[in-house]
Amino acid sequence: MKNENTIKKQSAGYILQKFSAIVILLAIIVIMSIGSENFFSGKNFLNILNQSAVLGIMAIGMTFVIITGGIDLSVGSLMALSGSVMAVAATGLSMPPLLAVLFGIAVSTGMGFLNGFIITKGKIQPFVATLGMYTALEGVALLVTDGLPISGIPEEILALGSQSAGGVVPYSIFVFAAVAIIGWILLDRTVLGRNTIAVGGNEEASKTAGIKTDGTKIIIYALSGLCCGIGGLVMTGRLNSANALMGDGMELQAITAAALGGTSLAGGVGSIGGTVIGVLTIGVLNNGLDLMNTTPFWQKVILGVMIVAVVLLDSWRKRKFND
Amino acid sequence: MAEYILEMKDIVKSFYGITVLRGVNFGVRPGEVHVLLGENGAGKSTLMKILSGVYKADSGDILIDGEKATVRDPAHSLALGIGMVYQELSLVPEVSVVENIWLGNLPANKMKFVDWEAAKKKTKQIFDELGIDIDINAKTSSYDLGIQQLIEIFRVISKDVKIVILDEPTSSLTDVEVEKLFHIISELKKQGISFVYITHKLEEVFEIGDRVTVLRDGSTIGSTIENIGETTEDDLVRMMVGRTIDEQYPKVSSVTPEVMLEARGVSDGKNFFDVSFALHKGEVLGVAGLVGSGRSNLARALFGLRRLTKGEIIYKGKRYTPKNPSHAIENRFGLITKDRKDGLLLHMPIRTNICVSKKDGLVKGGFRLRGNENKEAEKYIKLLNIDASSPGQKARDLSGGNQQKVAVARWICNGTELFIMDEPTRGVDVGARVEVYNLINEITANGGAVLMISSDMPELLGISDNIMVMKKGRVTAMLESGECTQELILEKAAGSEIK
Repeated sequence: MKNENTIKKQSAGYILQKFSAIVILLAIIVIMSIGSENFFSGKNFLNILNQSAVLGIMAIGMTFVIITGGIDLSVGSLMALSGSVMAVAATGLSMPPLLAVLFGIAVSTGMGFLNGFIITKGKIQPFVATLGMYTALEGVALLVTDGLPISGIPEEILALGSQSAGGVVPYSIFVFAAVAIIGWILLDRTVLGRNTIAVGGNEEASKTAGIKTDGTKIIIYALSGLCCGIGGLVMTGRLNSANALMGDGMELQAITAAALGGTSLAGGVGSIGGTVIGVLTIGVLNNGLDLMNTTPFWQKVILGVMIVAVVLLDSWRKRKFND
Repeated sequence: MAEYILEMKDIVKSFYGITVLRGVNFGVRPGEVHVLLGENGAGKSTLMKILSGVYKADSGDILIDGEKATVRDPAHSLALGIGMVYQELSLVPEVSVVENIWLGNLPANKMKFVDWEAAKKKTKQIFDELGIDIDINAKTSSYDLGIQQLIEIFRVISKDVKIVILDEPTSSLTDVEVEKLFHIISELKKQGISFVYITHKLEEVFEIGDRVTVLRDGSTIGSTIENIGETTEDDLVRMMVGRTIDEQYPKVSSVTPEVMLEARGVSDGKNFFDVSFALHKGEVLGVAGLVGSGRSNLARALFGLRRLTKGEIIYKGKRYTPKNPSHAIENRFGLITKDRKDGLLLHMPIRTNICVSKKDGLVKGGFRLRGNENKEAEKYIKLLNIDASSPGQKARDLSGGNQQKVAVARWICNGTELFIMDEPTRGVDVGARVEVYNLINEITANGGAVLMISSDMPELLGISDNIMVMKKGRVTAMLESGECTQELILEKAAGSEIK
């Protein structure tokens, strides 16, 4: 009897949270469809998905990090670094394309691992540690590329980000979908996923339950690095070149996408489905405003307002349903 | 002037859908010591937190001097003349006594600089009036806990409050210090200051109290007792518990001579030293001690949450060094923490809380077998009579007693043999407590052993087979609970400081 009330409250909050993300997305789609006649078409939707793929892949990794109660500000630099390493390895060092790709992804994953190691073993706040890495890795990427865009990259490396299945559906969408599905399975069905949620919600209690909290966090930061590696590969294909600054600002977009999807920046709460909706929201917004010939300046204003609105909604929801 | 300086009427409060206070009434007269009695979980602390503005009541009125008041937050409560002295000290240890007393309230001179002269003069005046011998310029940390508790009280009084709430002020005081405290309370009473006095020690009721209100399960039991002389300890216990004491501790002893764990002179170099004891199969070994006795840290060390610097542990005949909790769990240890939020994943489902530490049959290749998890959780919800709607319900939505059962279920389902329980019935209401005791009986009947830290004397005496008493990190006595009294335990726990 006494639990009924709380369950009702909880599920109402849950639905509202899930719902609000979808409602916001649908509302934007409706507004864009009215605002621009070119918006509502299959071709444009594929275009949006293609444009969102790199951010989506990185946001999946970011979601895991945020659920542990942390943050990864280095993802933009990591993505650019991984693409740059691949490009330089394949062109300057004449590595076989597959090896160059694996090398780039390994560097990115390794740097993610290092993030996790510094944060847990050095007991440094994730914000500060990854802020340092953000700056340092951007520098490394500039060193690797000598500050210049790298072109003449072998077609094998570019294919994933530039070509389409049957000339219609870009491969990048499949990569995004695959990363999202694997992410969902990881979070929802595995011990690692459960431990991620446990650690983010209550580290002390997780330790008491026998969860290796440091190990869990290190794996999750490495996972975020891995996502950046894959993102770097797709991005390089899309740009037909790699440069050290191609990930600029993407860390904040990835955080925005996760937050839009209901992942709590306090940790312990989040879902992959929500993040996918968040990514699509950003994609639809940018695409639609482009089609409506809105200046990029206004796009920034609108996205910024949305971030604050969503965080407000999040804190309102917490006060309303958790207290 | 109103008869009551403070009145609380029909106060109702619930958390997460669980009602903690169901219409509590009580009034405090000027210059009286009003004792608030009740078991853990009866709602005393919640009531006081409403009064001090930490929580907001769902309904009900607070009247101060006969006028309705809304307490917005702790600072506002202080402005209304209500001062709260918490059990945990909130002093800054590295600054002087006088600075601590005036912290946040330091008098300023014309230049808006701190007027130290005035602060010192006023402090001296208060101390002299009450006949207290404390050097106001000394570092606060140079005094021991008892004096610090007094300083904490002066800090509240310095803010010109009319009502002082004392939450178990004597729990870490020696007899001499208690006497000093009582003397100060009666001096302040003469100045018209009222006290709400929360305690578990019934003898204090008769020593210091003017009137008594008893809380049980969130309700006021009977009306306030006007004349303490007309009541007895037995009456008060009956009111607090709602039944006779015999039923409250259903102990079934299963102790065997086989040693499960033996500690030989273990220390962590900081909180406990040279601790030796043997825990037998089927035994409940109670651990008694005051604040600072090192009991909880000993428990944490056995579970691998702290390092041992000296001594050795023999577990099931082999040498055992606790490395970390997962290592301890593999060796069939289980820890139930003093604070439930340190042990339970309150933000996660009951299912997860029960299954999180078990791998056999629940995990395959890193994947969770969710069907099995649900079955396992459902089994224990039924077995332990946990009042839950489904295994997917969040643990935070359960009552304290049910949460505690989930905590026990986690270790039982994992085949745990050695249970370390730190205050297993803290914040658990009377009915659920008996269920926890029955679980302990079952654990020991099945050959498990329990190391039970408790500050609840009757619980220690009623549930333990043997009692180990600790004082300032050292074992001062090993007693058989059958032939042991509360007084004896207290004497060993507080040592020579008691007469």
